This record gives sequence, C-alpha cells and structure tokens, in this order.
Amino acid sequence: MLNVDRLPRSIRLSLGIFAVLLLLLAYLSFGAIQLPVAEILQVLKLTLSGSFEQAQQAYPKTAAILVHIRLPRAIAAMLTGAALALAGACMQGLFRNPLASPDILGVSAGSSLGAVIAITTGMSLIHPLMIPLFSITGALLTAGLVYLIALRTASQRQLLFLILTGLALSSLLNGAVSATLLMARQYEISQFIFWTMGGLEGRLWPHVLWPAPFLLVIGLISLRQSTALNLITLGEENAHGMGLNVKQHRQKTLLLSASLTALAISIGGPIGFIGLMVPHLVRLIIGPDHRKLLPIAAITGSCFVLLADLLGRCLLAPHEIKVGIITSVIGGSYFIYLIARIQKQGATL
Amino acid sequence: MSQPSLLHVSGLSYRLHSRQLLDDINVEIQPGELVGIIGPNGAGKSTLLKCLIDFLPASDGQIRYNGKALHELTHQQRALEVAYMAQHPEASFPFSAAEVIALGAENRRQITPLSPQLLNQQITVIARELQIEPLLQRKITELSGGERQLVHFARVLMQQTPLLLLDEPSSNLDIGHETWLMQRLKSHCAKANSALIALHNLTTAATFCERLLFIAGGRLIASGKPEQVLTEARIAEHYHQQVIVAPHPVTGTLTVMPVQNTNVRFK
Repeated sequence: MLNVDRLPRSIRLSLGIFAVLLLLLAYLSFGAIQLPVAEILQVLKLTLSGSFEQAQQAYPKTAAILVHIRLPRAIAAMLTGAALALAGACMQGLFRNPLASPDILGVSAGSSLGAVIAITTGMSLIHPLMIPLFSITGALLTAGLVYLIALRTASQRQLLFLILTGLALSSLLNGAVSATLLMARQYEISQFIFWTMGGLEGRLWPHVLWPAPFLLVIGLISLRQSTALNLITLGEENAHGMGLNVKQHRQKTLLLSASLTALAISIGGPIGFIGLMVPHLVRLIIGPDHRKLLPIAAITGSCFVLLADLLGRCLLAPHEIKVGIITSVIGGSYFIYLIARIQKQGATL
Repeated sequence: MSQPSLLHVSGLSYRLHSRQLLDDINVEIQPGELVGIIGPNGAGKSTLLKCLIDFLPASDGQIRYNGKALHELTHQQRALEVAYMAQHPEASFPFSAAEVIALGAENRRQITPLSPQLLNQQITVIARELQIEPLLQRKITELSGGERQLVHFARVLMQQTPLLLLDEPSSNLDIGHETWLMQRLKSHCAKANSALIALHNLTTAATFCERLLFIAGGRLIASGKPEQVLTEARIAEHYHQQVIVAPHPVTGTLTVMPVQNTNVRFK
C-alpha cells in the first residue's frame, strides 16, 4: 500500500490541495441540476477576470446557478466545517480531553434560544439575516454568562466548573426554548425544528459574506494557540512552569472557540458532531501536535461538510437531506466504530 | 553586596478559604545546592513549590530569583529562571516522549531561536544521559508511571534554568532509576545549578541532599544538614511513626528505618 507518510512534504501538500479542489468541483457540478465541469471552469474564469456578464450571456443557466446558489453555499459549507472543527480541536486541547466538543459553554442552547425568539417574534420574516443575528447574540451571551459564573472559582478548578455551569445553563435555556415553542404557531415550530437540524439550503452571499471576515480573523488567531495548547497537554501546572500564562490562554481559547462555534451556527444552524469527530479523527491519523492538528482539522472539517452536503443534495435529488442529518448519521457510525475498535484492540480514545 | 542567591524566600504565607496552608516560610538557595523538602502528607510541600512558581498566588511574603522579585517577572522571564515538574506526570494526548521533552525548550526558543537539528541534538544528549533513548519514539500515554517521570525530568532539564523545582520526581521510580535520577540531579547541581526537590523517602533525602527543609502543618520546622534535621524525636512527632535513624555502616549516610507495630494516625 502507498504510505503517504513517506512522500515528501511538498507532494503531500499538492495532493491535499488537489483533492480539496476536486471535491469543490464535484460539489459545484452535482446536484438537482447537473452543471458540466467545463462550463463551470469557463464561468469561474470569466467571473474572476471581472466579466460576469459575458459568462451570463455564454452560459446563462450555469452562470446563474453557480454564482448565485452553489458557490455561496459551498463557501458556507467550508466556513462552518472549518470553524466547528477548529473550535473542537482547541476545546479538546484546552480540556485535555479527546472527546470535548466546542459546545461546552452552552453555545448551542444559547443560539437555539436566539433563533426561537427570532422566529416566534416574527423578526425572521423581516429579514433573512435575523435568525443568524439572534442566534449569534444568544450564543455569545450564553458563553459569556457561563464564563462569568465559572470565573468565580479558583483557577485550578475552573475547567470543571465551566462544564458544570455550561450544562446547567444549557438545561435552563432549553427549558426556555420549549416553553416558547409551546406558545408558538405550528409553522413557527416547524421552522425552528428545521433550523435545529442544521442545514445549508438557501444560503446566499449575504449569509456568508458578513461572518466570513470574522471567521477568517478569529480562525487565524486560533491557529496561533497551537504551541500553548501543546504545553497545556502536560497539565496546567507543568504548562505554567514552562512559562505559559495558563489563565490568559484559557480565556483566549474559550473566547475564540465560542466565537467560532457561534459564527458557524449562525451560518448553518447547529450542525452536529463535526467539532467533536473531525479533530478526533485527524488526531488519530496525524498525531496530537496542535501545530499540525489545528490547520489540518480545519481543512478536513471544511471538506467533510462539503462532502456531507454534496451527499445530502444528491442522494435523493431533487429532494434534499439536511446536512445536519448526514453528519449525525456519519458521526454516530464513527463512534460505534470507535467503540468496536477499542473493545477489539484495546486502543485508546 | 555579594551575589544574590538563586532563590530567596522570606515570610511566605498561603491561605485558602481561611485555612493557613503555608505560614511564614523562609528559604534561601545558593548556586550548586541540592535541597530536599521533607514532611508528612499534607504538610504543604507541593503547595510551597506551587507558590514558588506563582501557580498559587502567595498571600504574603517575598520571593526573589537571582535578586529579581517574582511578581515583577513575566511568565516567560520566570520560566528562564526556574523550571518546575508537577507531582503527577500527566499525559492526555499520545505525544512521543521526544515531543514532550522538546516542549521543555519551547520557552527559551521564543527568545533565542533553535534549529530543529540542534533541538534534536539536545534531546538526544539528555536522553542518553538519563538512559531513556529507547523511549524517545514511544508514546507518552503508553509509558509506565516511572518512565513518564523520567521523560518529564528530561523535559525539565531541557528548559536549561539555573534552578529546578521538582515535586516528588521519583515517587514512581524503582530503586535503580531513583538512584540514577538523584545522581544525575547531583551532578547537575555540581555545575552551579540548584534544585529544590520534595521527597517522601527520608533515606533518599538524607543520602543525596546537602540540606533538608522539614515542613509540617505549613510551617518550616527545621532546616539544615540531614543529621541536624532528621532526628528520631522529630520524625516520631510529625510522622506519628517511631523510627530508627542511624548512619549506614558502609557508606556513613543516614538511614531512616521504621519500627514495626507502631500505628500511623491521621490527624
């Protein structure tokens, strides 16, 4: 078998980029309406050189579907995947637990409450960006509140209290969500339930353009936490002894991960399992060094959501399966595989 | 004025929820000294070491490294003065032993860049000295507790600080490896480096340390040469165990042997 590890770095990198581009091209081409690859490349070439109108005249159907529908959706998929996987990798490192999820600070519950408020107050009808706006506000407020409560404990036990407070607050907020839904109209309930499944249908340029710069900046700052995360794996005391400002690093990582998760949820809803599964899988393959783990998890996460959404669009075309459903099925299967593997070979998580 | 001591601690106290865990500790360590901290379980040995690196914030007192006050040093500057090894060799992710040892150099690498080749060379030198070369490519999560302690000891040496603070570095080691580690520490201290090390085994402490600090109930009960500190009466009083302290007939170093049929009582 071909051993990828033996190949030179530059070849591995080129192979990786090639695979990502291939997947992206497949995503843009397949779907309810299939777009020929040659036309896609032509339209992209013309659009990138600034003559979209020319592309529209030459290939009206391809240009319209590609530029207005599939391209923003592809970017939405890649951004959410990368953000969730990166946040998950950071949280697993910070909590020194390979099964931590980026959801620890109650971000999902907070965003759910935000979304349900946007839906039941009718705000979501005013503007399509209201659900994202409300969900991100709910998520960040919740994360902030969880952190403020946990902050009152001594530094050494803060991680434990973060988990406890996150659980407590999530439970409270989920209660509030249910209570709100009791009083909601039938179509509002359906709209909310569809939102909680996590999906990328109907994501247009406005959905991705406003969070994109935030995601890029926060993502790049998160990548710079890699060395500190490596130190923290040896325990907070040892990391402190090696010159790390443990408290500051913890605050920074929590803030970055919560923001990444909140932004991702605001684009695609709560797409499950990516933040937990992707970094875990990548760590099994390339090892725990965060300097490699963080960027590769981000890339893998974006490819994973791209692939899951491609499957969702193609499996029952012209009907769509929401991407959250696909990732949940894959995620659940992955964990059953993990359990079987550990039972059989005694491998560690 | 003479050269400042590597570590100067005066009036150090630490309180947690109105419990006085450390009370008025005064310690001074000169270059080249290997000093042991002894005392019963819960005496405050680990707390003292954690306060010395500011992992726990001292409630009172002064800590100075090479004349510089601890609270004026940045985290990075502190980690150039003193390295610390925690009591439990934690391993949460499957890093290789070599990667763990390399982390010890991370702080100084941020100040003076170090090429990967040179870094690997330094790891090999330390691993060879500690005879842990066969462990280098193995995963830290798969090593035994004792092997992990040796890897962490190598990691602390990689930090290249004048002072080492070690919290029971040999608790999981067999007698061969413990002796090996203590001898390595002693020769390390012969090169004008110092170490302050918490120990449970009193005979080990008497054999290798030039000076002992006896801590009980958060107070410094006695300090000085092993024969001054390790008296039968003092050990019986604080450990609640009758012992015989006698020089070894061959080596002449102090040995501490328990007398059977006396009960340990926890307060």
